[in-house]
Amino acid sequence: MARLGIDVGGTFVDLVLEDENGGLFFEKVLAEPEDLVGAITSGVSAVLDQAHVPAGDVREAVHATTRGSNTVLERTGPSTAFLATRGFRDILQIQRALRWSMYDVQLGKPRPLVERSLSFELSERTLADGSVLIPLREEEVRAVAAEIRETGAQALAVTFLHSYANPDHERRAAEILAKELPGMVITVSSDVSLQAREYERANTAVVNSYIATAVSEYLRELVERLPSVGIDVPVWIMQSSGGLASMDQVLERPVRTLESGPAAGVVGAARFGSSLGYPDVLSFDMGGTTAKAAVVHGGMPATTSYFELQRVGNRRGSGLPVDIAALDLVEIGTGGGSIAEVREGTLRVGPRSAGADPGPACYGRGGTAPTVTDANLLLGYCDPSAFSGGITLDVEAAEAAVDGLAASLGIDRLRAAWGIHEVATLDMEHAIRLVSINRGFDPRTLALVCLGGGGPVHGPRLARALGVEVAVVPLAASGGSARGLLEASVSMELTRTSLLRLDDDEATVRCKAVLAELVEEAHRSSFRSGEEVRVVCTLGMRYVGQGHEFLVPVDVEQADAGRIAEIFEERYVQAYGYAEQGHPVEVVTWHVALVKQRAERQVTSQRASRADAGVPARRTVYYPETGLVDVDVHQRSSLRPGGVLLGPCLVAETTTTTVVLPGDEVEVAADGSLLVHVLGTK
Amino acid sequence: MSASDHARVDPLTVAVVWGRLAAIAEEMAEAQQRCAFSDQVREGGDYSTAVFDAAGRMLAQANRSPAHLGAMPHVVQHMLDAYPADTLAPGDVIVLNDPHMGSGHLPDFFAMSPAFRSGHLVGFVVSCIHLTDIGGPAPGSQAVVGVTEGVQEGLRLLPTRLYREGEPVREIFDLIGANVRVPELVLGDVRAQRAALHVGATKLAQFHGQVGSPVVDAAAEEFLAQSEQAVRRELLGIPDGTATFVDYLDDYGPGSPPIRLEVTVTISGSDLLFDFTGTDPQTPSSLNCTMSYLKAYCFWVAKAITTRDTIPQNEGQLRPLRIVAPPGCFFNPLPPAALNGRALLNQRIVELLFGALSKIVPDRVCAASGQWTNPIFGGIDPATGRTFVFYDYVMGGVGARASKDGLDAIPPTVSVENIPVEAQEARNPIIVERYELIPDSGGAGRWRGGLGVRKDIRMLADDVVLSNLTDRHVYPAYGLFGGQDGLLGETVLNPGRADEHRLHSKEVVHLVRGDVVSFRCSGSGGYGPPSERPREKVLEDVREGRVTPRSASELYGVETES
Repeated sequence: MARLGIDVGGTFVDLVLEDENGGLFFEKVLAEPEDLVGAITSGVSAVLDQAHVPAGDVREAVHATTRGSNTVLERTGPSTAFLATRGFRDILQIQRALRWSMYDVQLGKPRPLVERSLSFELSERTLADGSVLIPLREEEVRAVAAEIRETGAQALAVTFLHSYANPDHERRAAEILAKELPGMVITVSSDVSLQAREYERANTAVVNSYIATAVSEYLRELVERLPSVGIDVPVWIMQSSGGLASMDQVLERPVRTLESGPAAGVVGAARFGSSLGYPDVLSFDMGGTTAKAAVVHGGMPATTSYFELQRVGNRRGSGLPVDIAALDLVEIGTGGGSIAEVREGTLRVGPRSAGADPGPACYGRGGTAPTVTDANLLLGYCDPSAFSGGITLDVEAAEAAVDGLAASLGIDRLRAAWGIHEVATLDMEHAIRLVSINRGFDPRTLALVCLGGGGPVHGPRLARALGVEVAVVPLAASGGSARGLLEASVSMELTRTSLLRLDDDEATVRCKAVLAELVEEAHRSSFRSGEEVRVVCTLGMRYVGQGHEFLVPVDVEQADAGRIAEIFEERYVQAYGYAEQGHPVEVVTWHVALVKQRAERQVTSQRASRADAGVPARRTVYYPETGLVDVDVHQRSSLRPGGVLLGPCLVAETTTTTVVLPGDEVEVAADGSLLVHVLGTK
Repeated sequence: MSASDHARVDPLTVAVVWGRLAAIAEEMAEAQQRCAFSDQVREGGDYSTAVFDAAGRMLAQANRSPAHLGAMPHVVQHMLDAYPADTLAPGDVIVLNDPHMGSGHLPDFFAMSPAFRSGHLVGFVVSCIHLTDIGGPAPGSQAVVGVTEGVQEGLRLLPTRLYREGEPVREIFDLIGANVRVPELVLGDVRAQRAALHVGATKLAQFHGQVGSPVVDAAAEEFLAQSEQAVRRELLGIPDGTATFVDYLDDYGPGSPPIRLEVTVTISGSDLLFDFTGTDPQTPSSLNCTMSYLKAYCFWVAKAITTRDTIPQNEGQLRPLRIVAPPGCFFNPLPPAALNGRALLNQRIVELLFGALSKIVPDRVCAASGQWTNPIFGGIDPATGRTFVFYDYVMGGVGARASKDGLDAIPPTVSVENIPVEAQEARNPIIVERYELIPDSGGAGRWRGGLGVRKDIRMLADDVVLSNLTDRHVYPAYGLFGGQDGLLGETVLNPGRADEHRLHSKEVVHLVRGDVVSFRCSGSGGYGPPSERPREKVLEDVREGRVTPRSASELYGVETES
């Protein structure tokens, strides 16, 4: 059977088709904003034609959508109302009140999705232990429903204090509101998040209601129109957690799809790593405007239960928080189009970007600012005549752009180009340290999987800086997110806040009970009985009295309280250098993911005496280790599994180039991946 | 050492070193927050971290509380005087909280570790946390009234070794634990400082190993100079001038007089002078401000009008700034002055300076902001039978800017953030009954001031002691250029009940179960005359409930239907 992956990004729709023999075909079409579904269907036709696969052979389609996040970014959702516990209608206005840019007198707060005039409240109160202080009065709910009806709002979010501990009031209110307000999209907070911290949970409910209509209209149109190109099969949607969900599940909780696209890349990296024998990887996906990084441990991407939409410059508090299971990604404003400039006497790269239009100076579309891609061109890392998407690069324009920068720094052109490359790599290195070391993962034990157009160009250098021993460049790395879609599994994640001290007598019994309950709930809502699933369990733990949880993966079969506490302490010491000797440990959050098993791909190992079956070209390239040097440019399509190439050299393909550093060694894996072994020293 | 003593490093190496040192300070900050036990550190962000070179110069500070910036170099110097560098070993931690050695007030607890690379000292890493309690007369150690001497305020540590080569010095832990109300929280936070120092010292040593100490030192020399130049370049773009401004603190406790604050700002070429002559003498209460705290917020202002957030905080940017405050004045108090109540002053130093600077750089300042409130409750939690200290922040807003309205509910000058009500109620015997914006509290203007905030808290414990700490119950947040002042703040006990009455802004008061304290932060000042505010903006404010129809009519001359 054939399978289809459809990844919608900012500028392009990436499509990938896997035929029944495991052959992969890629297609890229412009994401026309006026008729996105039309762009998708024409892309589907194109990739089927290219592969000579009849549409009827496609048994499954997997999709990553940005519709939800774009609705928030562009503020195109419907008029949305908010209902809270009396005294708390301003939760969305007050927020966490973090001064996210300390010295900026012109600072702004993230703009809420709900206007203050559409915020309502009613008398009810649940306490932190779940007990009810003030009962919900049904006639008051009906009265407030009438007020909300008057406003003409089309969507509504309800957040009562401590509903994570006892959701009764929210649920009862939702029943009454649904009756009183037919046609209204209603989300109650305990339905999308069971975590304490009222602002974050309230905002999650608001986002869910705000994007629901746009997401459902779009997905329905997609499902209606795919049959016109012969695709009439179930469409699975990538969630922010990296797992797939059915259309129905997504329509219930669209908020879970916000980070659909970025998640796909990480899922891909996890699978590429695992199939090559690297279960622990750093996923590094560098595109035109940003780079994204995430850690994968034991084949499973690290997850978080919190992220922010529209964050500015990676600063916490600058975006709208969402409490959902998401892959723990860090996004860096460094991409191929990032502009280099001198600020405060020092070279900086990004976050300003030349975007796709005008793009880097070398695109020849009128851009004059030097970008990362311009620098890479001048360093010899890209082929001017065969760049991604068939663009011919304008070397002179790149030179002129970089010369301006070089002059203001008082250095020569080549040094400036190297500087841009180096500073861009450094910024990414810092961001990666934050998601790895600070989460207790040592980058030196991870393999770096390089995706996106820029991943293979910067990856080997980044690997060296991080102390990583091997960088992996999968086939068609630049379309990594679309490929990741085909590697994802159907999954269901649940997170719950529930305190359990591990030194309690009954801790092991309770621990097993909570997990069993969550597993059962996840199973009931997503899988048919008897379906083969893998249970992945992660506990958010801390010393009693602390406020932040450290995520610790545990084996659900061996959920012994003492052992769990030991694992926690091991991780804690690794990260912070000490343990709180004898201090009790508690579990706060319980994350359970059920993942439908997928058959592992079989890859047979091969040996080749000569890596390159063709005749490599030569090009002059700059490395700080060697200065300007002539190196071989191997065509990726002519490389043979089992062969080894020695750096310095380049491996070129139509959409990207792998830059192999002096002293490093490239092994061509059986599946065609490049394994860049970092042997050279910094 | 001057720059010429070092091998020259190119601008790219400078960028690499600078970026890495700033990242180390951030990684320390994240470790500290994640390991901390108290709400104000783990949720509220009241701490800071920094990286120093072996000569004791601050190279990078995390983007957290700015309060400790001016203080840290001073603190490190005192620590090194007591424990010279050649007596320090890897894993040592030196602490101090003496206000006159840089801490500014006793709750700010500084910790420092040396970083060694192959036996050679390569620098220092420093952490500061606002501890929940350090002893003294009232829970939370910030009582203003009834305190006239520093020795009344709690435990004071001169430089003291807390860890010796990684091993805790038990006697010192015992000493601290025995002198504070909530030893578990306090010692947990202190150990979190140690986690941050461990992370920082390890990273700093690794980095020196990677690029070589001479390169780090030379690059540091260079970026400190560049930082100074960046500030100077901006200052050269500002016209020379001198301006004076006067503001008042309401008082320093019930029945006390107002405190006059005065500053004269002089910009001359690329130099900046802040002269606080004319300010009242120090007070016989804990409301006084040490020079180190004054310096931190003078620096805040210098940065806000020049480099803002474009470059990370470091010592180079302090160089163009000179500060004068006569000894014995409110801003330069002499022993035995009490000092613990200073928390409300951070924004007031900035507002005083902005008032003067508004006459020179009107588009780089904002009108006065809503005064934040920092109440602390303490007593016995009936649920656990143990002492609790409930430390809260209630943030007013930010004053209007030259081309923007102010902001509601966000601190004007600090990095602390709201502690979630759900977290507060889970850990303390209280119920928060409301938390909302106060309509009409923002000063009217072409650009309207941010609204103040009201937070009502009910006691679930018997016999609770509250130290109130706020201001602008008497003197409002000023508006600029015809913008009106913000609404005054107030603290009300038991609103709506027969025994309702106002509490003083710095009162220490005993509460009983069922009492409700309503904190109403003052509103922020407006900017420009209200008559110039576009009608649509006024109508939007009325629709959004930020301005009442009556005020729209009276202050803006805009009539609304119904």
